[in-house]
Amino acid sequence: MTTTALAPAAPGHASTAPRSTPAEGVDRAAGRRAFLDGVRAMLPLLAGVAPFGLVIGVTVAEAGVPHLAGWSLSWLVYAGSAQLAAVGLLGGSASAAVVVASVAVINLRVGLYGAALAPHWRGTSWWWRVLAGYLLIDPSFAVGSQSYDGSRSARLAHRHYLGGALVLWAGWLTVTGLGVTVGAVLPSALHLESIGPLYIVALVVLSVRTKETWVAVSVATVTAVGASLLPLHLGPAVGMMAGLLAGSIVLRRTA
Amino acid sequence: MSTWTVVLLAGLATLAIRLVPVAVLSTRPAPAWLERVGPLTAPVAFAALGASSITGAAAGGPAELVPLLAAVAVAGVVARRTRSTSWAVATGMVTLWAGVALVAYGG
Repeated sequence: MTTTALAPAAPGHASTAPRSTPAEGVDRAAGRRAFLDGVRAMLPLLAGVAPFGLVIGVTVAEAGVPHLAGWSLSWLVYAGSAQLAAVGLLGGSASAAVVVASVAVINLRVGLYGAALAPHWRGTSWWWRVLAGYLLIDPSFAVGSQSYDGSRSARLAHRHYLGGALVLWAGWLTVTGLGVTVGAVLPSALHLESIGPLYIVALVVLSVRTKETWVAVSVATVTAVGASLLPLHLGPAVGMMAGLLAGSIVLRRTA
Repeated sequence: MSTWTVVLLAGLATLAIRLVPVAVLSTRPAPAWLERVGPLTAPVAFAALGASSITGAAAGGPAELVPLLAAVAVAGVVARRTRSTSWAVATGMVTLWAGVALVAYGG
């Protein structure tokens, strides 16, 4: 079945269809099963990112950022690492340009995910591509890779992706909201604002697996420290650019 | 510029990053440089942000910086050994609290 099954029904379509045929019933049941399979595939990943969501929520509560605005990053930016960066920068009174540029740089990888899944969404309605693209982030890309592995029809693959991506979205908004609520009532003596940097350190350690990543991370770290005296909280952005430049030079030499 | 404006701009920037490749690259492959640099962006961003946060704590003097550096070192080692961010954060926080208590006691 084609992807047009996901498009809104034509006006009057539902009311003029007297009763669903047996074939349509089977079709609908298969769609529901694919959706639930996607939900099930996402649950372990959601459990894995839930602590991160709580950390971000607590960081919002501790950073002095208006709680609703900080939590709204969960549905506006919808990318944990970028949210953590944005909250830290907003709490540090960084300029708008630095916040937006940092979020954009961190989320560049999501653009790559979109490029990878785009061929599977060819021929779908524009609203489906907007929805599917908006829901794209590391865990939904992981489930999406399963959805479009060729084992199911395009329509069922879309349902599978949607099931996983929607449960992740709902779960993410819930855990970050919980973090904001819990974080706001905890005493400052607990130094919970340090959870974010510690989590980031762990992520960096876990991500260093190749020579070029090691070089890029080292250069980014040293440059960010050195650039910390720059105005407008430009240190992280300068560090990121230097790290990416160093990493790409190593990649080019080893290619 | 208000916090809300910045949050909205960050959201719009992210939405553009998500949707432009879907719209543009659905009929052609991604540029080579983008595929090459892509895997590096997240670790590099984390490293720069982490370094910046820790440097910021230096403004609070050694009483704040030393316990945090100890916590970072412990979190890094635990992450490497256990491959678990949860354990890394938990042990790092315990180290931080112990460090803060020691500094307070010693001071």
